[in-house]
Amino acid sequence: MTLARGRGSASEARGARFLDPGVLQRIGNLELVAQGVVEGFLHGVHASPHVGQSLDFAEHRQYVPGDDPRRVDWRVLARTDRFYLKEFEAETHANVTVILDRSRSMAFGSQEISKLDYARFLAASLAYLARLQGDRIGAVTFDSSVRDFVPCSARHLDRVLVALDRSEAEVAGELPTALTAMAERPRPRGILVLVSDLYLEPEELRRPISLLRAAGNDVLVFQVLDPAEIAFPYEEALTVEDLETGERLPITPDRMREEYGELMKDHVEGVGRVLSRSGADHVLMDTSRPLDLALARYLSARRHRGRRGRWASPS
Amino acid sequence: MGISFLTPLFLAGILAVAVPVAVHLIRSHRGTPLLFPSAMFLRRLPVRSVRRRRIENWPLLLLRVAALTLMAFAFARPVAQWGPDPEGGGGEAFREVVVVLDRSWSMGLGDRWERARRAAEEELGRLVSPDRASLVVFDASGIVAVEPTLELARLRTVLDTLAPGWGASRIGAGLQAASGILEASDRSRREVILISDFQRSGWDSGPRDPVPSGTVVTPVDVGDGPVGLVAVPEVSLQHSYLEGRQRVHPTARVMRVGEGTPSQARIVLELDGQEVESRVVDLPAQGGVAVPFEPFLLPDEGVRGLIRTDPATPLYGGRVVDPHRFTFSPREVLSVLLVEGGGTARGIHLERALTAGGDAPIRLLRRSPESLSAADLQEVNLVLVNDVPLPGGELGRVLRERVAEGVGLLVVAGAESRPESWEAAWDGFLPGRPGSVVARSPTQGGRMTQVDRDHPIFLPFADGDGRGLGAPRFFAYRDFSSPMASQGTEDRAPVDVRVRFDDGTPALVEGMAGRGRILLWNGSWSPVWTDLPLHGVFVPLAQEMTRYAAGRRDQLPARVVGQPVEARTLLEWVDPEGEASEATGLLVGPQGRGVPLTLAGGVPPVPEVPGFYELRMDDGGEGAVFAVNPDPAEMDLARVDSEEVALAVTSGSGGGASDPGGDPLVAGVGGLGDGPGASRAERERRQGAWRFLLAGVFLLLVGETLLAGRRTERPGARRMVRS
Repeated sequence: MTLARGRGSASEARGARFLDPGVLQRIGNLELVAQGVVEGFLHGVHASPHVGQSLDFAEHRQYVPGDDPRRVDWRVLARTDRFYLKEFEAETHANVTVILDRSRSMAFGSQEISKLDYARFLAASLAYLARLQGDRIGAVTFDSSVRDFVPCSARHLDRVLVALDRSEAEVAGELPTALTAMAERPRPRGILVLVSDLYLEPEELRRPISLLRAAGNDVLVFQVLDPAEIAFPYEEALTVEDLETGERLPITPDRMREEYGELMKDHVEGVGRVLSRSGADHVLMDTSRPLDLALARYLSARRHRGRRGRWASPS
Repeated sequence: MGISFLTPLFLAGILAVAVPVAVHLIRSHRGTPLLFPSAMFLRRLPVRSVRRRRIENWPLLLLRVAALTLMAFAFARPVAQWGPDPEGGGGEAFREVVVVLDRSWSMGLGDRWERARRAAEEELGRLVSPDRASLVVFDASGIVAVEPTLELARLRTVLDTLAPGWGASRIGAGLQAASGILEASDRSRREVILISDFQRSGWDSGPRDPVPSGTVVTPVDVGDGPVGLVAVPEVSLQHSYLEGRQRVHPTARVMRVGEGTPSQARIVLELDGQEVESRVVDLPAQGGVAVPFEPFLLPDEGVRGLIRTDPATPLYGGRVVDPHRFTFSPREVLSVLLVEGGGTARGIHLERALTAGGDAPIRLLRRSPESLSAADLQEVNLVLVNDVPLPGGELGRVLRERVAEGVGLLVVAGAESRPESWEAAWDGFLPGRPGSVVARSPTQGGRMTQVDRDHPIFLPFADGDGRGLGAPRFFAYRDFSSPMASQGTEDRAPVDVRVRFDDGTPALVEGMAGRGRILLWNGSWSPVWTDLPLHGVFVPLAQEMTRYAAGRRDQLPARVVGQPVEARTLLEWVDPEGEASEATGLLVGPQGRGVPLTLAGGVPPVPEVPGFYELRMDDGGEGAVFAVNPDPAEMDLARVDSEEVALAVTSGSGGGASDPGGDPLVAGVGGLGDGPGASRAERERRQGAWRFLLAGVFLLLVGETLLAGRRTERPGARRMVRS
């Protein structure tokens, strides 16, 4: 017991270490990062790595000709004299696609890690976690258009990691165009995890998210921001150059900070509001915070939606 | 202590302090921009620039302003001045600058003069108040045109009025004049700016005295560039007799110097203003060619002539080459009584020398001491006693009377002259009595030295090295002493030594007795005691001495520009038997200006322009005309290295060891920091403030970097993009 606790403590410590973005930045290898993050996270929460892959009952449905008679719930038949089939969650392996925004603005970083690196770690960790659960995983990276596409497969973890690893923030982004293109491409429905800083008007998100949702996908959006983008800590007069457009603006930060903060807050809330109305989850991630929050939010959302059966039968 | 600046224009750079202020106030946000993910929110906010118009970081601004100010001061080259000196004298910190400007004839070629003037202007422009400057111009002699002054405007005014003259260049003469100024100066920093075309002839001739110790000599050579000319530097006039009338054979030497000059030229002979003959000659690429003209009969009144190129202006180099002028007067036949030992061949050289030239104007009457009679002394102009004792008794008395009346006497005191046997009456008559025999080395012998080259006898030998006067050797001669040498008595003129042997013994002594001229050669003209008769100089020397002692005037030789006109020579030529000491005249130049000429003394006039000069006697008597030509040395355009000249005049100036690490053109520098010789070190020290100022600038910029870096490193001010 003591030993087990001891091992658990060590694992926790190791997991906590790997969850620190600053430490992750120094590891470099994306697979190791994802493995460390996920295992550390799972040990930390004392959860089974096989969450979701179980024989948990999901729902009953009426027998239709062609169904396997062996799946008929004989108890229900005895009580009601009707043929119902019993379905389980394990049978609903999801297609999980991580969508990484590699636009130029993601290159920014005031801390030890840039937004793009943080987003890559986050996407890789989610993919690794999804793979542990038996989900089929795929990836899409985009800036002004789709740059890499990895279709969902149970064996595509390596390809996903490679696609994420070679992503560079070099071109200005066009999120609505990229998402719309994805929505219009026929593919199996599943879980779409969008990782982006979402520098666009919230209303511009409505249509592409709605299209993705209408295609039967569940959409989970991680909005990644640097602490400096939120707090705007600059003091002396300076010139700001927009990473996306190259536009330069002379500013006096100390006089603009408060209003900037208000605008940023309104923006984040507006994004959350639009996504919520579109049926998508919105999680704001600060690059100074560990990744476990993101994983927990993912699992929480998956469980919640899994129980509602949304993975298998989108509304 | 005061401060002046070598390049004060750089002080305008102080205006650059406005730059950091402007940057600070207006453009401070423009530096390395902050790369930010998106300006979508910032774009919506109004730009507030009020903050930018305030100084946010005073220390940083002051550092930048101070750095720029110091930099401007450093580039302006401040010069520290100790001890204010409103009068410009006595200050050790300031310079005594002498601009030495060559104005010889060759400086008028091409653009040399304009370049020289510009160079002088530039040098004056570099002076820093209260540096003192003076101007020396030179050709054959150096003249202080402007005494040391603080008024540079006056120097410039004089400079504008100057023009190249006709004289020959004597660099040493200019430096001598400059040295006079520098030696009188109380300033330790002495500089000479020597501006010249550095003709080799101007350096090889003339003095080479070193400049005062510690003087910095800066040569400015304006002699480069193509120039050339065709000129007549020399005319030879031979004469002969045709049916009792004298004929003159002129031969011109025509010289072509430099590139671009014509290969053919027409040479014209003019006599008394009329062109009488011209010849077209082919000119060699370099050097000269002799152009003989047909002989012409000499008029009784003599002739003024010239030989020139046609056209007179070679058009190359922008300078008119003046023709070569000459005068020629009829020669009188000279009657000479030669008294020498009979039956010997001792006097054969002398006899041949005096009769050389065919129809010579010397008519020789030869007598032995035994055959000499008083009658022989009546119709002669000169009695030449060659290596025999002077006659004594009645004959001696008659001879002395004839001499006192104007007959010349030339005594050659050789081995057989036996001066100890001369009667005492000669002692008060002759300029001295030859003594015992002085024997010199039978192989080396002695030489003639200290030749009085301005004496009429030696004027034909005035060019070059004396045309061989130093060559003859003298194996024996006589000792000589005279209480009257160089000083007169109540009834005698002073005795002059015209030539000495190299041990100081007088060789040729001149004296007067009444109206007669006496020359005493203190040795022999026979080959026993000397090889003089075997040398080419013997013929002209014997003839010149004979003519001079006889008091007969020869052709008045042409002179060159810058050569002083000795009044005595000229007046004696006009009236050889008269009381020259009382004669006065007026020397009138080609421009019509006259200069009084007296034997009493005074500075001999120096012809400054070529042409014919005329001596008009105050008593209305017969005058004289002589020609003055440009110095032919000026037409030799070969040049000497200007640095060589500067080194030569600075290295020998008694200062001992020169400064091994210093300026090689500083005269006699004994070591850095030692008195006047340390002018270079002092100059460096006084001008060295710029180094400290630049060091200050460096320190300020380091401070600025640190301060600016600290601001950049402040939390929240990070500007970083990771990709």
